[in-house]
Amino acid sequence: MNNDFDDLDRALFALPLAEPPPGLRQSILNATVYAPAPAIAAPVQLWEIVAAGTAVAIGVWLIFALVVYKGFAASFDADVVATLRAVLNPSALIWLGAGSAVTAWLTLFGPSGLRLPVRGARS
Amino acid sequence: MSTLAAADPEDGQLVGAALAGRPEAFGTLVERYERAVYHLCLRTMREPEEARDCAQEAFFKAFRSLHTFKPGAKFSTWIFSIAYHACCDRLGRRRRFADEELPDGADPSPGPERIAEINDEARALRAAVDALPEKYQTVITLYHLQGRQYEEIARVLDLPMGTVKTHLFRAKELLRKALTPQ
Repeated sequence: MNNDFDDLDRALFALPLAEPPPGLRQSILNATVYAPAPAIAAPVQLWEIVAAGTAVAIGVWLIFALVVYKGFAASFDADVVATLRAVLNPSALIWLGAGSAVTAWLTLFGPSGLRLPVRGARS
Repeated sequence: MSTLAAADPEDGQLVGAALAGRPEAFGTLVERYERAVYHLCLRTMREPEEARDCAQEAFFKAFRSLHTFKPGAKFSTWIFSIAYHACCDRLGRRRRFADEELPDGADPSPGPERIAEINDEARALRAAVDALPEKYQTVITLYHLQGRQYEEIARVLDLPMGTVKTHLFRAKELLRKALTPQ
């Protein structure tokens, strides 16, 4: 198929590549090799962020409740049981599932997907 | 002995070294492919500033996902694929948000009269490539960068190899027609 195009091939392969703008390599290196190491070295999974956020929120809420509401500690056990009963009924679970599904769908397929801040990394 | 001690380490070795905690090895890969990646981005985007952003984005994404690079794969194919898809993303956004195909500063494709006027063979060929339809232009650009490795071109473009060969054949026919004196 390509036997007829030998001269064209030679001319194509002889074409010089476009010259990159000055500073491109340095800006790439600054954004990659020389970029400051992230605070968390290992790649962080989404579920880890969600779990950490949930744990912090529960902790803050517990401290707040202990400080503000007198007798909270005494009634904590009963409150936990009542909360679990409220959360673990079928209609609450359905609503929780629906909310989680919508959140997951919007996160994965929504119009504003996560974009890398490349322009900002320029030197 | 270090794998990087070799005078000209292979791309795969450099990826391995970067993953093993020597990010400067990635710098060598940047040095090797910066020009080709920028060339691909420029031919796809037709606008130097956007091409620069796409090339930078491609290397940034590659660096961040270096652990997903399959041992034994060709780094050139991988980085070209990332760069090409970064360009497609931007072109998609550009077409979605602007009511035009090319930006104001875009490199306009010359017409056949202009091509005929150009005496210098390389410049004439470049002008003829610029005048090709977009799908042919990308295949020709990758052919230029990757040589006759149709399978690698097909991988970058996510196209069947038959389609790549057909596009290439039609592109070359168009080029020959454009370059043949009337």
